Amino acid sequence: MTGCEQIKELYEAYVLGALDAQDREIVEAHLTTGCAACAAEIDRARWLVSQLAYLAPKREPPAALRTRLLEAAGGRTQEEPRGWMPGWAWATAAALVLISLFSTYQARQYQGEVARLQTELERERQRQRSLEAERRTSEQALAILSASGTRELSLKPQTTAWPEMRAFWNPNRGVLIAGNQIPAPPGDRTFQLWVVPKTGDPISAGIFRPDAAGKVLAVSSVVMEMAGTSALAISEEPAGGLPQPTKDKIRWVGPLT
Amino acid sequence: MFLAAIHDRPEVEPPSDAALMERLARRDTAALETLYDRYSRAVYGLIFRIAQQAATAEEIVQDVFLQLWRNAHLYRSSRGRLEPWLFTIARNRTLDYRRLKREKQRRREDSLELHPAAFVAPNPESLVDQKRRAERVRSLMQSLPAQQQKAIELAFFEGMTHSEIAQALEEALGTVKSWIRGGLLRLREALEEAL
Repeated sequence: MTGCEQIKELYEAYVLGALDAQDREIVEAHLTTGCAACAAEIDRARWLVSQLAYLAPKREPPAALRTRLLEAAGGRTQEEPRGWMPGWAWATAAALVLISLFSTYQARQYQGEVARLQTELERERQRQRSLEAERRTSEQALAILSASGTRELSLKPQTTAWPEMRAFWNPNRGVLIAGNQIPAPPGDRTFQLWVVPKTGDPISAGIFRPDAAGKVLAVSSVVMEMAGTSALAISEEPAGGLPQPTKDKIRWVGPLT
Repeated sequence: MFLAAIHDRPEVEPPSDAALMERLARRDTAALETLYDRYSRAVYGLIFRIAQQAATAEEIVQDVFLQLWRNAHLYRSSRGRLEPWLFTIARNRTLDYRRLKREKQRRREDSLELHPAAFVAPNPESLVDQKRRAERVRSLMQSLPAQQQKAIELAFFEGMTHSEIAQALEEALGTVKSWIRGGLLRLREALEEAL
């Protein structure tokens, strides 16, 4: 068995991902012994290596990205004031408060109506977001199905009680997963799609859940040549998915034969 | 008098990452906005540096912040720091994306489920602020010989192994190993120096 002394020079390179296979296996074998001292040093190294990110110059992402993120998170979609308010803004806000005091009586009369309209507006926005997401998925699905080079795969359930799912894979456009009467994973758990390469660990290609009717129509924009891939797999994972699949939670597998 | 009171108002401290993560776990999108405004330039810069493509970088930035949003509950009780987690996930995701395109074998340790607590700063209480840390990292790297600097950059930004770097730089494997470790140990010293 390898001792701490033998691997202490490898901590930083291990975290950096720079170790060649043999050295990496040595570190991982040692860590599986539960060595707390080395695990603590690895945590320190992980922080140190993360600081190399400062070598990359900061860049301002496009404003649209912020909007898209908030839409995806189900939050507000319009641009709103950012950061801390300057002095004049506080003064303006305070003035507005004073004015509003004079208008309280009138405002009360309209509060009920405004609240109702706001609720309706929010409901309509949610419906639009949902329709927009569905439209995007349908467009991507159509693009995959109509592209040349798309291959159809059968994803076999690991339990006979469940129906089969279909995958349509185009190396340039992504993967479409389709299924009917798919049982929903319990609670807030989710299904996660994996691309299983011929060598190396599975690669996450996205998470999805069936709709209320058990229908699945999910698109992953993962782009990869099929030649290096041995299978597609779907596992059941906690909400948000995991970096690697849980072995005893693999639900469907579709080998590329 | 009213306006004077406004001007005398003490400056409000921006909310800490921990406080924002608490709010994120309660599905507060304003907290997500604040965290995005705080870190998106650094995260986007890092991802862009690796991916070298704006569309890809944007997609991965969104993915990283959505993961933060979805898994906020994991961070609420953690004493770990958010910034190194964001940097590490951003780097790993981008290198994975490149690997997908090139079908290269996975080499990073991201089979581990990384949690913010898995990043231990040397002395969190006296850690220099983000701006000064960034300056120290850049300054230390610039002080290294060009080849040593290149070796570290190839490992971090290109995801290359010791052997690949030795081949790329036409240097002995042992030299590359000692350059990378030596450089990182010097970086640790620079970051641990008292304020």
